[in-house]
Amino acid sequence: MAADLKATYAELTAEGTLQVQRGDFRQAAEQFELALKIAREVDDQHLVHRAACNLSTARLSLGQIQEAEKGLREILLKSPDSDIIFIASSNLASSLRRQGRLQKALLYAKRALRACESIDNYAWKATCHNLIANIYMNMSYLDDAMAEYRFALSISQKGSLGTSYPVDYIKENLGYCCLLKKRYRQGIAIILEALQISLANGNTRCLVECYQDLCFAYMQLKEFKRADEYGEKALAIASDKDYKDILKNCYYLLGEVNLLMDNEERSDLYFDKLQEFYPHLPVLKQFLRTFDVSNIINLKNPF
Amino acid sequence: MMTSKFKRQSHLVGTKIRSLRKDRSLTQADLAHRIGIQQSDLCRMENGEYKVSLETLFKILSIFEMNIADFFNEDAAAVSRDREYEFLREYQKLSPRAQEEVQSFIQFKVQSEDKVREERIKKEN
Repeated sequence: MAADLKATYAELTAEGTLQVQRGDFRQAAEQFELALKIAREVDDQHLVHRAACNLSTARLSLGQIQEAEKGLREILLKSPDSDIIFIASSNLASSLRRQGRLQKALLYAKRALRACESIDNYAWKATCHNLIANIYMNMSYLDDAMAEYRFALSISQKGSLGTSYPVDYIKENLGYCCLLKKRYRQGIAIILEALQISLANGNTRCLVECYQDLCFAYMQLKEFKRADEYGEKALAIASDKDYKDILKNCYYLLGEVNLLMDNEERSDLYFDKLQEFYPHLPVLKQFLRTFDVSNIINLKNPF
Repeated sequence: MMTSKFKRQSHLVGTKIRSLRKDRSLTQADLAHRIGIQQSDLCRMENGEYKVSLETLFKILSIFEMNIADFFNEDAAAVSRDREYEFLREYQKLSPRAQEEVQSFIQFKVQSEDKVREERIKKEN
């Protein structure tokens, strides 16, 4: 009986992991919740911790930050297992990063890095350096971020990860970092590579970020028609998958691009949509029409 | 409404945030706490070195909402001045003959608008 349940647990976990990699976070969370139930039924602490960590990963991606953080510190105190410590630490780091508590986030990310030193998993090591790079990028320490992204890519090569997860994310982030440093053509080339990989991997979340960032890049290069096309693609996916952060960024980008193309009506439409998220801020649209904020914005700052 | 050609550059946003903060007697620590970022990051933001999310930018707007009218009025005036200078620069590039044509056209426009105004006043009386 316990063996059957453990087999179901393993199936649910594998399926949920695939769904996370595809960007289907809601479905992934459902699988991990079922896995957690089973783990509790068979009363296996290791499985309970692992399922709770996996569920936290899915919730983080869904933007349920408080929910995702629950129980992780307790797991860190109780679990002697490096795998569990790695996932719990990196999820805590991600959660803190999204709340803007970047120094604390960096501490947990480094703890995750220490934990995965003893684990023979190159994807995890690369993911960990990618996370540290993300934190540096959020801090606007762009050179440090780029160095970490490049290190993450070199680890991926060393581990022969090819184009599998998380190489798509690392390249996408590195490309965006180039854009922030105003190296637009270089950034576009890297993001286009990430886009191809995301398409092949079926990673919708990474794909939508590629489209969004290409929209931004072409806007900065004043190639507005292309920018508009990529922005629309990103918007379609973000609406379909309910990626709220991307949705807001797309409304801003498309509002801005259309304003720059003198399509005031369409620009108004997108800024109005963005305004709907901030009903307490009636000046938002006027502000965006008056100021060019494209150079002070980091589309990947989650807080 | 201002067009995109006359949009203010973003580096002014940081400067403006600093001046609004000072107008409201807020320290960097106070404002950073309210926005939810580190004081050092706010300092870098005011200097244009720190990039923020749309979310944070809008949070700052909320905090300064009372002063936002000043924010816009001052900059709208600056935009208007920019347009006038731009016009003057273009005008100076013209040949003397073309300058005369522009002057005649402006005179014609002024006279027609005066006429319209006079007629409106007559009607109202």
